[in-house]
Amino acid sequence: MKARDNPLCTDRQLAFRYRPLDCTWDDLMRRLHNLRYRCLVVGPEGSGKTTLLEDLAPRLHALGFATTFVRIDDGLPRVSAGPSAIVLLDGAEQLDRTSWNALCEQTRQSAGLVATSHTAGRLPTLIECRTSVPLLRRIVADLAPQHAALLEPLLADVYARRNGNIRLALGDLYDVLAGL
Amino acid sequence: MSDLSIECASRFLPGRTVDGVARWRFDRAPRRLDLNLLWFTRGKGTRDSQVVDTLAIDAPPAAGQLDFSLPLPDAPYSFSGRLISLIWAVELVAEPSGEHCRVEIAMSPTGAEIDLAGKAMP
Repeated sequence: MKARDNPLCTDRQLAFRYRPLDCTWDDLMRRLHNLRYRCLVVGPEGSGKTTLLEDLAPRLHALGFATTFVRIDDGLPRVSAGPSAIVLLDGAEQLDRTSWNALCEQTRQSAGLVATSHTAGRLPTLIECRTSVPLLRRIVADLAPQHAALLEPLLADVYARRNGNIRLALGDLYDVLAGL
Repeated sequence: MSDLSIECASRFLPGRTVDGVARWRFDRAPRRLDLNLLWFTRGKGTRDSQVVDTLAIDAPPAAGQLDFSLPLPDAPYSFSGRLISLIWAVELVAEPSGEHCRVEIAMSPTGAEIDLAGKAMP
């Protein structure tokens, strides 16, 4: 199968947005408000943390907040956010204690700080992102309905081999379809 | 409710010009329209893209059309393997709404997308 026709291509994976498993978006936004917009999105790699963070932005805009998205790639950038802005930080686990404290200081005057992290603890947890074989099955059914039956026998094995990392599991399934 | 469309040929040789017509109709006029000639990749892994030419229309009317001529460069060629495809396209984008339409074209020495997917994998 040509890459352009592969239904599990990156474009389509990225177009699949976060869906809370055990609550609704309304529940999540209420909890976010109750936590005064300072909290963590916790979960392992490939569990949807970044997607959730991205999907929070338009919902926060609808509430009148501005958002500043910060991705930790190479050290901590200087974060500048006004009093009506909520900082959305992707990758808090990459910050040591000193950098984390500096970030908290920089965002003290802002309306909030929502960060993704592999581990809980630095702020209250908004939600713990989890994955499962049924979730992988649902994503495959949505992205590649015409190939869902072919991929079904592989799902549990791929999920286990990739330790629940949905992004990597979908990459493996992409390869299966590429060989068709 | 909006309606955007692009009419042009679908196969081109490198360095040739993409001639066509872009048409639009909006309930409210957009602030700007961009007609882009671009290529992008689709497949597994990181996506890549490049806009090689843009015709910008500031404060366009709510409905109208634009005859365009956009010169293609000599490379990269359109191709499709199993891992990645490189796709040329012309797109019309309205700002600030982001509404858009895109027409895919092919550019190569034969005018067709180079098919690498059928080749044996190393």
